[in-house]
Amino acid sequence: MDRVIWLIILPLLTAFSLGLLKLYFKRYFNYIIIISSTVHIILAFVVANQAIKEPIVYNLGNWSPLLGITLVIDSFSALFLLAIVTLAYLVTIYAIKFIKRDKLKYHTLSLLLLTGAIGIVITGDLFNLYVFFEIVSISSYALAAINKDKESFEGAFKYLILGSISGILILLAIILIYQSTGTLNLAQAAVKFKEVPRNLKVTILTFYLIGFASKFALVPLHSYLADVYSKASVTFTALSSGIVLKTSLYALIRIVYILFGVEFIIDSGLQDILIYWGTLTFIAAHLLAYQQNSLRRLLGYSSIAHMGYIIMAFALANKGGIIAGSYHLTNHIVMKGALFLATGIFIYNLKDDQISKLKGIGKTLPYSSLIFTIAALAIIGLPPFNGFVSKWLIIKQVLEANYSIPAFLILIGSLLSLIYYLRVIKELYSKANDDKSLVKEPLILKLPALTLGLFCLLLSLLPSFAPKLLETLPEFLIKQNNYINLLLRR
Amino acid sequence: MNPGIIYLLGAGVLFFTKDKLRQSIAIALSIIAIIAIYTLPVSQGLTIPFLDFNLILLKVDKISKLIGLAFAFFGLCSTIYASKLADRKYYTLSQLYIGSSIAILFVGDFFSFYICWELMTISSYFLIFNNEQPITKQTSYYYFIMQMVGAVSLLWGILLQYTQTGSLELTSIEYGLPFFLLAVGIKLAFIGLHTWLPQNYSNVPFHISVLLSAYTTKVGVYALYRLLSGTKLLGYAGIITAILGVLFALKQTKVRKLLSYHIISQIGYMITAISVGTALGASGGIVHLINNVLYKGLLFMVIGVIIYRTGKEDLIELGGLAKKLPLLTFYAIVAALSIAGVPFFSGHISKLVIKKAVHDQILSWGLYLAGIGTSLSFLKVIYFAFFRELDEEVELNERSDKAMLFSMGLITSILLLIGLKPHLLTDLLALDIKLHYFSLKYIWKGVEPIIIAIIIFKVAHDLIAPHHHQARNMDIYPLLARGINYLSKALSYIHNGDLGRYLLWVISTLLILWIKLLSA
Repeated sequence: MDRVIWLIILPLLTAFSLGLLKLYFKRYFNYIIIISSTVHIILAFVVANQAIKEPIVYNLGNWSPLLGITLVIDSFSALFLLAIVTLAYLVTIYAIKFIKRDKLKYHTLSLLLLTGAIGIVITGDLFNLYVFFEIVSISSYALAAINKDKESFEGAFKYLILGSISGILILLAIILIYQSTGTLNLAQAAVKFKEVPRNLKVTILTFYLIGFASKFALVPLHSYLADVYSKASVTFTALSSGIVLKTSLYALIRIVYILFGVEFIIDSGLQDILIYWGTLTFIAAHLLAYQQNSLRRLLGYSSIAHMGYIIMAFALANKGGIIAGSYHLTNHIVMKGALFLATGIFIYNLKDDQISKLKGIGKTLPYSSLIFTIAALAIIGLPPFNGFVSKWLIIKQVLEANYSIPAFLILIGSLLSLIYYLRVIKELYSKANDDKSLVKEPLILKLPALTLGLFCLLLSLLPSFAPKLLETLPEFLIKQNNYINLLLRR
Repeated sequence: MNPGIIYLLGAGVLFFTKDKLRQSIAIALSIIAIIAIYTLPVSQGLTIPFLDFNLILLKVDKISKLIGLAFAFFGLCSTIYASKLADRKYYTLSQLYIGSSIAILFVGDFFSFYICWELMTISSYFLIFNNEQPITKQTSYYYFIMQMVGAVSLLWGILLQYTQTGSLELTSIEYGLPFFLLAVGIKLAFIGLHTWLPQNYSNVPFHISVLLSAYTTKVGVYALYRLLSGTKLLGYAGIITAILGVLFALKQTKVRKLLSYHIISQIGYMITAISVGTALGASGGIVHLINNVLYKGLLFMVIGVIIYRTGKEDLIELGGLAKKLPLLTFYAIVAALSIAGVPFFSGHISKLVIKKAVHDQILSWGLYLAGIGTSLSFLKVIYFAFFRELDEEVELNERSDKAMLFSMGLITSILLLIGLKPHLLTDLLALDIKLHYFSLKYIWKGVEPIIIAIIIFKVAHDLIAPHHHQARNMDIYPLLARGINYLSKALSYIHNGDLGRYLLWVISTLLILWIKLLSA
């Protein structure tokens, strides 16, 4: 069972030893990173596989769960774990070639970010969650500024300010929970939380909601995101939209479902709020994406839009909603990863990501253009790609819950996203005016992108080849008692 | 197995092969597909569970089999036709396109239906988007968005139908009628929703327009038949489409544009026939569809050869080709006589069945009028392209068009066969009425519109003779796009990068949320 803790320790240890190792084994720097990540991904797959069969609870240092730190992995966390680790692995390989300046800093920070993200996903303790959340935030502020140009600094500064506010709100919420329940263990807090007066509950919920939602960028809390993305390196943007956004969402979902419970979501009107908030988010984000000239900003807005879809699915607070939401979330990690990595190859050659400059790239960079096209078609929600299946599920669930207007608007959102993604594809495959014969797509950049592009096709069959995974996803979310019993060993 | 799969897998094979080998594989695949479709037993085959429903991947009935045969046959001909010009992109995408349009005929549930529907759109988008013709960059964009509007409303209709009835089986729909109407209307280029068609079909390289002319709209008609047959009101809409389509066509001087409007007009016939709702009407529509695939494809092939040999396609510049390209002229005349519905040619058969099925007076008169228009516009094409004497002769280049003429010969022989022995086709549909296609009454009926057309052609010769028109842009859809653009610009404008403003947004959201939750 000690494997579980290694999921966190391994990247943390690697992150801090990288600096030292670089002094003595400079030549093997890349290999060290690759070996460490490979071990890590294997470990993650082993643990996740085990957790899907039977949820894992691990008490650190064998302290009782009431005193010590507990790690919990159920199917829902396992899915996140798999998606995050896979993306991080591919991006790390990609970054070995892609990142040229400040290699050490970049890898240290991205490993820290991974540590934090995994921590968020598997911890069973509210304060621990906060700590990991801040690790993720701080490393992403630094990663956002790593290019050291004016725009990066501006973006990172906005990110820092707004991120700190969200951190403060989350801390406030935790303080209020501790004050009213006397514990920070998620399960125990959930048990005692039933006696907390309603107004206090609502206040805690508001703080959590704003705190996490400004991290995963629901409109109008999204304002910093595009500025951060506009000059940041694509490896960071891929990690950010694939990991930072998703783990903040995970934290919110876990807390709302376990601490507040499904009944509260429906009774308090939170369901309505989140459904319409999600709708507002994706409509606004799609419209904004249409105006962008920079590909990275466009993709950033598209990420925001998809967070809108996902939050809608989770707001339904039923089995189908959770499955649809988690499925779409996994798909989005893959599709957006592929898009960012393909964009990275464009930037690697052109040093720019203005859409108008991509003319004729389809001929000179055939693979990355193909990946971009496939992932774009998938993210629009066209069959036979994965995005279509999960979007279908979301729309169906939302429609069945009698929110017909938001459900219809999801389709309009698909149409809008077609309009702006097609703008890019159109440029990619049109005829170039100038000769671009010097461009190249190195294998080490191509391979991770290709893998993700392939996943776009394969994941559309996920419901057929992993029905068990999807089926068990809601088990420890929808019935809070399941989770409480699991954690407290009752 | 669904015969569409042959093409879809074949697309992968063709992607990795080269030159002669690729050519022969493509032709072999088409022949295999024809045989596979011909031997399909009429029954329901393969079902696969997916999510919480069953995908019915194979469901064969007479109609789908017949249309499938026509599609596969035309696929073979267009592959041979394009063999001189085709590149890797064309082979791969055309196989995907043909494959998905054949697959859609044999699926039995809405989910797979939608997947094939979209596959068609995607593959045809990349077929249209062609760097040899820079204008297609814009027109294909327009095409994809318009098709996506249709697809989105189809998906919404399917979801409404599914949540209301709990079944995804492909049957006549009960819920979400307007959405299905919009979807099908865009696909089959209903007048008013047709704007995507002429601008694309007339601008792509000609071997691609041959391919496109046969499938997209016809699949729309098939969908109309499967989902919406018997919607009475559509009959009138069909007539309007038929007449307006032909009027637009008469105005054109670019042959492919003229043919594109003719597709729209002919689709009007089929809509009218299918909307009657009887078995006879449906069969008439389907037979007309098959005829139309063949002769409209043949006409596109004819103009393709003209473009290939002369580099021109405007009737103003063409003329006197009959002497230089006699075989081509023969094909063109057969196709034109077929589309005009002259007795002993294939169009006569289907038009007669449609006329038999339609009992409404207005509809019958409408069909009659459209028939005159059709005859008139093909008189125009044949006369001005092939028989008119020009002062300055059109020059031909010496490029070989043997493969093209061969494939056109295949289609022509089938057309002649259908025209002379209509029972070969109608027996496949098991039509139970006995029509004496060649009785004097029907022959007169068939010839009548043509005589009127010839009279009009003589009288109004100057009006009809190809001349330049003031092109008027009546497309209103770009206005919609401008509306969206305005909205998004306004949204973009308020994101001015001011941190204070962003902070204000966060705090006000916090307050609004708090108050809202407290008061709930």
